Amino acid sequence: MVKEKIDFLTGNDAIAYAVKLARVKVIAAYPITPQSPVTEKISEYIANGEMDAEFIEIEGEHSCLAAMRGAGACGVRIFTATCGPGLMYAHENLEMVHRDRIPLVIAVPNRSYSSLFADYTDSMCEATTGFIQLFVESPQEALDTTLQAFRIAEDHRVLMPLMVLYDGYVTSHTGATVRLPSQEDVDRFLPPFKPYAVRIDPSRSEFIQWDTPGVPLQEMEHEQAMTNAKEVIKEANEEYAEIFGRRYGNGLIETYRVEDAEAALVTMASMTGTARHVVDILRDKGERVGLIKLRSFRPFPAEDFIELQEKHGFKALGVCERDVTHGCNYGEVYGDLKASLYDLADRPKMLNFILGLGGSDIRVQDLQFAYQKVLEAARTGRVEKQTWFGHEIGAVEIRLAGF
Amino acid sequence: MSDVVTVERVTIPPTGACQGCAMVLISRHALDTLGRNSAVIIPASCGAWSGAMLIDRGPTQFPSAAAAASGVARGLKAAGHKNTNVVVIAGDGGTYDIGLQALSGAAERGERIIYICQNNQAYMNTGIQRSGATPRWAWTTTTPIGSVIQGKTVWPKSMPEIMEAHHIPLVATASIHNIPDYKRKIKLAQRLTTEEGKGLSYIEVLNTCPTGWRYSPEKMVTMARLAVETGFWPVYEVVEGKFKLNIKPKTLKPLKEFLQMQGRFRHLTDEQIAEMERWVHERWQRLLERDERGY
Repeated sequence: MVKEKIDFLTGNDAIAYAVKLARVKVIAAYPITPQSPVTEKISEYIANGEMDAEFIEIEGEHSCLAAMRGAGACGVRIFTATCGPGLMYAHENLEMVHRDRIPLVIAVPNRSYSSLFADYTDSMCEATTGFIQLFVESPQEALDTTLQAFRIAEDHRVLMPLMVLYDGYVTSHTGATVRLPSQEDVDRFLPPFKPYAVRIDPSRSEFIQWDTPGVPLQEMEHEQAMTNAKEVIKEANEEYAEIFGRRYGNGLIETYRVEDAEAALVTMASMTGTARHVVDILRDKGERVGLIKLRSFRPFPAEDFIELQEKHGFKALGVCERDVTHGCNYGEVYGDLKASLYDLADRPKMLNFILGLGGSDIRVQDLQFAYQKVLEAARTGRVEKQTWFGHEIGAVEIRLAGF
Repeated sequence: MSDVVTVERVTIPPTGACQGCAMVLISRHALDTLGRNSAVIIPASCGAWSGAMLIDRGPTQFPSAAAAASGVARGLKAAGHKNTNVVVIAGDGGTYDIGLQALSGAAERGERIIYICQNNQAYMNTGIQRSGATPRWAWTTTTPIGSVIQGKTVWPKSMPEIMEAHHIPLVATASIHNIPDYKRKIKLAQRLTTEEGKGLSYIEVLNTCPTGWRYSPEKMVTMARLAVETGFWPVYEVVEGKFKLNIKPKTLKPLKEFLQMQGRFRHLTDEQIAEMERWVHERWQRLLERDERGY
């Protein structure tokens, strides 16, 4: 039986609490809205002696990721948090963190490049960077996933950096009931970091001339690591569930009422809660609809979607996402999912709903509209219009008088 | 065999540097003086051609050497290592220009970093483009001698003074024609930064560069000596606020003696030489006054 406290925490505070429980050794961070409370809370833990860690109050995100690379090379557990323009500024060193195979965990409260509010235009720039990207729905999932994140990233089959992504403000600043595990139980789940190799170790008696593989081989090895990560994410999810009793689907995707569904929506992060509510409404009306939450965007769980499609034979799928790949008229997830299912003989019709850009609300009626369109496609076998933007269906933009 | 002296070297020749490159001396004497309990970070620069060394090298990108070194210093501390020297050897571009923000941040935070700037006064590694350290009127590939504009049009930054404004324990300049003075400063940095933990130490060495300055390689040391004797490269130290001019010639040699040996200054008019000499002498006067005052 695990010992847990119950508290009312925001997503940011839940992540800071997880970082303390994970016994992280070096943290570097630069303030940016809406990430700042994570590092403020960690600073408090250190100032009050509740946490024994080095905190580098760095002067920018590019330097922040450089410092994380440096600390990571010394073989200690490391953490940072950033988002939006900060994540974009750090891009060069984000790329290098995965090339070094440093298992850095970054918390990313997603922020649009064009406003203070949530969309995925910041992290989607890193879709090809080699980061594991886990989108989470709630403060509780943020805490649980951060603890799992160290297990996954530091696993010697993986050794790739990892982002825990949650919606800025919607999850980062909104309080919810969170079950807080005890240090004792977390130590059982997450043992101290055992580095595969320590690149900087002045106590070593012999000298090692490090060699890294050439770029083509390196990229192939990283792809293998990402493939391995799929299994490791599932294992971490299961082992976490065994100890703490909380499980997030199979770790990669989570389904809701997909049995006998003729159409389903794919959602990410906080919009999933609204989507569950809409599924319940439609199911009550007798509509055969379901929901698939994408938790692991990278690695992309193509096999799990294929298995799901083969089992349930959806006639149509709709992908809801807060990002768009300009010039393609669809979002990253839509493109990836369509490619994954293309080889199936019994593949679904597919629609894309680009919602919540710049932090605009994703409303019940937006998702009702999306379900209506996928149901039409399922029944007629035709897609009149592939991609719908939020404003086309009446979603209002966020505008704050003060700004 | 009591007259045999063994020195534990951490740098291993050969290097990939150009013939007559002073950077080789700068990195070799720093690292050999500091010894095996060290980690070094070398951003994109001519320092990348330092050759093999028996100490671990930390990772960095061009703009972030001092930030990566901060991470290494804290990571080593968290991993339980004691008295490990964390050394950065960066060029003038990686210090004056693209690396300035990271260096300023690390200095302000009091990181335990020994930062060595090997200043060859341009982006020599990428093909002699001008930097914030390039002297006025000097030829580089991006300040060519054209029919309208000849050479660089503005004065260089005073980087050691910028570093002094960070209130760090040691700011010093050095020259490769006086290695004992340079090594003494490295040891001073080791004591102040690594052992006593008083913060970042900054040592800047003039890296005489036959390739970029356009002179023949065997004149490496002569050129360094002349730079000091003409006042072009003053050698001084600021140790915990105390100023000392380390090399103080009674009279400065004419600047022309130093300039005329280099192709990069070949096009200078007598008026330009006179103005540069005035600039050099004014700085020298300020330094003499500081030396007199002691701060």
